[in-house]
Amino acid sequence: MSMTDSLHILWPAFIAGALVLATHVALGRQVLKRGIIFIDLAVAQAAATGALASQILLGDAAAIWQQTGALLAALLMAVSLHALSKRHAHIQEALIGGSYILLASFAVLLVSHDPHAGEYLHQALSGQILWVTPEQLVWLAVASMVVVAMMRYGKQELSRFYLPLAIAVTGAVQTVGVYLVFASLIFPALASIRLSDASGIVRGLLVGTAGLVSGLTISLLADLPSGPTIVITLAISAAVAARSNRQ
Amino acid sequence: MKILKFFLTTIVLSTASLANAAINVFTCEPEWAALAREIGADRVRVSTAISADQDPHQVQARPSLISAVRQADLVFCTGAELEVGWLPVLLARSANPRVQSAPGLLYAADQVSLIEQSSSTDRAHGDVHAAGNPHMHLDPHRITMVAKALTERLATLDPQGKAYYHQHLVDFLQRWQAAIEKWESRASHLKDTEVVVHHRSFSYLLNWLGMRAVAEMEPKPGLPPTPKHLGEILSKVEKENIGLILFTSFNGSQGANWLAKRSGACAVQLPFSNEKSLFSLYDELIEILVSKQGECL
Repeated sequence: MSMTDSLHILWPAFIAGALVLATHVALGRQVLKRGIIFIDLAVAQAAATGALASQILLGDAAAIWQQTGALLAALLMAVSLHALSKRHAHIQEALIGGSYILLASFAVLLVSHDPHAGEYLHQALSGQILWVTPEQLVWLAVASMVVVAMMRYGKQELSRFYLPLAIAVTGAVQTVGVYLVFASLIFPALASIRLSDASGIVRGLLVGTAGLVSGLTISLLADLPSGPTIVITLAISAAVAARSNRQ
Repeated sequence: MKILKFFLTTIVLSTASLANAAINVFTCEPEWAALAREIGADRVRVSTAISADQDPHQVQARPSLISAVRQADLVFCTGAELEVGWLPVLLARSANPRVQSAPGLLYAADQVSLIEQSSSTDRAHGDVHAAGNPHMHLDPHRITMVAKALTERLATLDPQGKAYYHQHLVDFLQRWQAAIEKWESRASHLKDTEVVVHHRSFSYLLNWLGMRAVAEMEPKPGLPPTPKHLGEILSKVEKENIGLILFTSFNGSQGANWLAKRSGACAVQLPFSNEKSLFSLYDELIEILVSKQGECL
């Protein structure tokens, strides 16, 4: 494979990964502080179920309506999780886990009479980072900017954390897949958990970028699926950083 | 002197054609890789997206896939929505203008008629592909038609090799026709045998051999069957004394084994494709069916 070929193949994936990291490192630190690790799975599943529901209700509607359905469902999920967090803080993680499996099972029932059932279910949560198109990158960049602005200027918990998380996860899951979203959220944040906000985010971004670049490189050289490879290199990169931090 | 000149020209021409001969063919499924090698032989370089045990509905994005499509002169796939989940993205990402449409893009399903096309009435029963059942590579007569179409396409893309491709087609069809007769006589006892299938992966094979699928384990791939559906299949298998439950590796053996254990029928795993040779694929299919029929009925 020639150098230009490799670059042509990898640059959209790199930009997609970097855009995801740009929002997920800061969000991940919040998620860890609140101890609600599985909130991104619940939100991602809400988005997938929302997309399926709008597809079934509107027939083979235009992609924009599916995206709208996905985003609305994710935002609704974020609002209800936020409301629950106020009243039932001590069982919040259980409620999040519960919402996830409820929505996942609901999605299976939703498509059980649809001829393309299995494919829809699979596709909704399995974005593949290598197949990202320039058009998707533009959307992802817009979403990332909205998310950063909300986190920066949001006044309450809802507008500063829950809603931007819903937007970020909805955009990212469909382009890079649910495993990579989870890894981008958790691993860099874990490697920087003890640092203050500013330096923690910088370290998290460095750890994330190192994992992203090495994962893409290994997947190119060894011809492995890129998403799962990056998940593993992100974990290694975070572990190395955490270890050097302690010494 | 004339003879010498003739020889020299021949040598120069043939080495020249060898050096830039190779037409790069990218196939989605292994059966088309095998066919492309039969027809294209030394004039083609063949790569394939998935191996014989993989589910053609789902493919993981690897860097080499994009690279292979970028270099391809011909993309040769099944079509009929089989690869709808990944091929369009792969073609777009490759940004290779040669293979975005014909002649650089060839769908096998467009060369034949498809069975099990769904009208609005039977769509409710959970048919999967509106365009028809895409797994037509398990009918040898349809393979013949695809082989002819592939030959024409290769000749269009590589006019110098036209005679070469036609010669290989003639040779292939001769062996293929003989093999079909051999398989049909070997499988003559299979006629009218009733079987349960996991999914409609083997409809063309069953049609060709005159066998009948009386039930499907998983009408919608990837979705668990309902209790009522399983109950109906079980009672049907017991009542009609059905001996064979057919599945293939990427279906998973769970469903077939469940039914086999409860009904006493045999769960039979069949190969779905073979990258090396279509002949061995059919040899294997026929041998397994014939021997299992002896054991299980």
